[in-house]
Formats: sequence, C-alpha cells, structure tokens
Amino acid sequence: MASDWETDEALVARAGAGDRLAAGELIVRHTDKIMASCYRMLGDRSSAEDATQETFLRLWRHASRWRPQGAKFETWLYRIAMNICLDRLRKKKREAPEEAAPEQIDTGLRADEAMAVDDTRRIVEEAIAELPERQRLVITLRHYQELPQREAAEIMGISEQAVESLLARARRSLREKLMPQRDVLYEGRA
Amino acid sequence: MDRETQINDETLDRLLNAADTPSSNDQFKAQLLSDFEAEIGRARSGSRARLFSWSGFWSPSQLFASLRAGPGGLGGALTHKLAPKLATKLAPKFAPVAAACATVFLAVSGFSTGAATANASNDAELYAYADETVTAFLDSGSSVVLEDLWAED
Repeated sequence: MASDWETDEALVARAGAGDRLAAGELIVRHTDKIMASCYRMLGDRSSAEDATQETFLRLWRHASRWRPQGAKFETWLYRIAMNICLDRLRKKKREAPEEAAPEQIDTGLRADEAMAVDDTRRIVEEAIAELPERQRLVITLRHYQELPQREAAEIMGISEQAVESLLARARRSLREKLMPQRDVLYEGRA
Repeated sequence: MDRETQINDETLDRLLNAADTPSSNDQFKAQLLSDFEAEIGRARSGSRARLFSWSGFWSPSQLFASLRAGPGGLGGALTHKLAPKLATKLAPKFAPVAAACATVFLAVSGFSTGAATANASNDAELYAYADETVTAFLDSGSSVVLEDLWAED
C-alpha cells in the first residue's frame, strides 16, 4: 500500500515491480505539475490531458527501467512528458503545415467567461504560444515549473549553458512580442 | 509597468505569472486513474495479440509473416533490432523469458535454425512456444512491451 511518506523513488521502484497502487500514488502526486506543463506546451486543455495520460502510461511501462543512480525521478517524468508534447507538436505541424500561424490558446472557458478573460493574460499566453517549441519548453521548465538549470538541461538533453542561452533568447522573443502591446499590458497591470 | 520603458526582467516575470496555468481537476484525476487501471488490466490479459498489437504494432500473424520474409526485408530488420534487445534489455530480471522470446524471433526469421529446431519443429509448435513465453512474460508482471524496445536504442 502506498503511503504519503514514501519517496517517489521508492514508489517508482515498486511500480517497476508491477505494484499498481504505487503507480497510482505517483499519478496523484504528479498529475498537476505534468498537466500544467503539457498545457503550457500544447496550448489547450484537451491535448494536455491526453499527453498527461500518455505520460503516466509510459511511466508504468518504463518504470522497471528507471534506476535510482540515474536521473531524479521527477526529471525523468518531465522528460517523458515533454517528449510526448514535442512529438505531438511535430505531428500536428506535419499534418497541417499550411497552418503555421500560432495556435490559439483554449482557455477552457465558456463564451461569456471568455469575454471577461483578462487581456494581459490572453496577450501573454498568445505570445508564449508563438514561441518556437524549444523556447516554449525552456520557459515552461524554468519559469513555470521553476526547475533548476541542471534539471532543465537534463530534460532537454542539452548543456546547462545551452539552456541559459535558450532561455535568454526566449525571454528576448517574448519582450519583442509583448512590446507592441505594452499599452494594453499597462492597462492590465499584470 | 512603465509604458515609457522597455519590458525589463521583473516586468516580464510578472507578465508571465499572469498567464493562466490550469491544473488538473479531481474529475480528470479520477478518470486518469480509471483509464490507467483499465490499461493495466488489458496488458495483463495474457494475450499474445495484446503484447504484439499494443500501440498499433502488428498483429501476431502479420509480425510472423513479415519475419518470415527473410533477413533482407522489413521483418529481418525488425528482428535484427528486436531480438538482441529482447535478449539483453529485459535481463536479468526476465532473463529466461527474454531469452525465449529472442529465440522465437531468431528462429522464425531464419537467423538461427538451431534455435528453431531446439524449441519447435513446425509452425504450430512455434506459435505455442511464443504463446507460452509471452504469457509467462506478462504473468511476471512486466510492463515492458515491444513498443518500448523498439523506441529506444
């Protein structure tokens, strides 16, 4: 039986041995973060939910392969999730190459609620959605998930220096995208 | 933010924080757990077809037919890629089962006639042998499937 005090590492070891309760506990613990990251990458709730589900199924299938001396469990899980998101984005691009325009963020709100969505939030979300995949990924990991540079590097399979440089480029891109809207952002008092 | 200035780091951070990051809700979590249970149940059904067809993999008959096409074809390439992995990646935990699976792959693709005669003298026996080994593999509680072996080097 899974307990609150059990570490992720202990749980994944048990999941690897076929303990579905341990796997279930990992799902409960990590769904929020994984879902949020997938949403940030994919831009709509439904795709994010699908990617989250796929992440945990893959976790279950691969759990026996995880080794404590390797990557931290959470880093490993993020890597699975982000790879799934990147695959989905690439597949989407292949299927609709003519639709190079940035995705519209689906806020999951009803029409009347959407009317009331804060302009600042909408503008920022659109700017993030317009970023190239890897820039969006680095913003997701470093800003939203607040992961240390080393972990972000491990997840992305690049050096820490490359993460730093990618993050700088992502932030510069965001500034450029947001600048023309600064009057609205100013009104929004983000 | 000051409209006269550039967007500085602090302002950018504040703007990023204004973007919505929805979390999952309880209903989604419950659904996720339920789907997960269902998937595990299917994976452990003991079905050879399930193992081979997971995630759109070929059916057993397609797979075996392709393997029989010989080393030069797709089946041969598949066997080259899969058989060593079956033999090494699942070891040591599932070594006997992995070795048996690898033997079947090698045998049906003609890479190792010795293995074929050692374990099965005709198609029916070979299929039965494959069934036994795969069922044993599933019964062992492993969640490793061919898709995983195929996906990573």
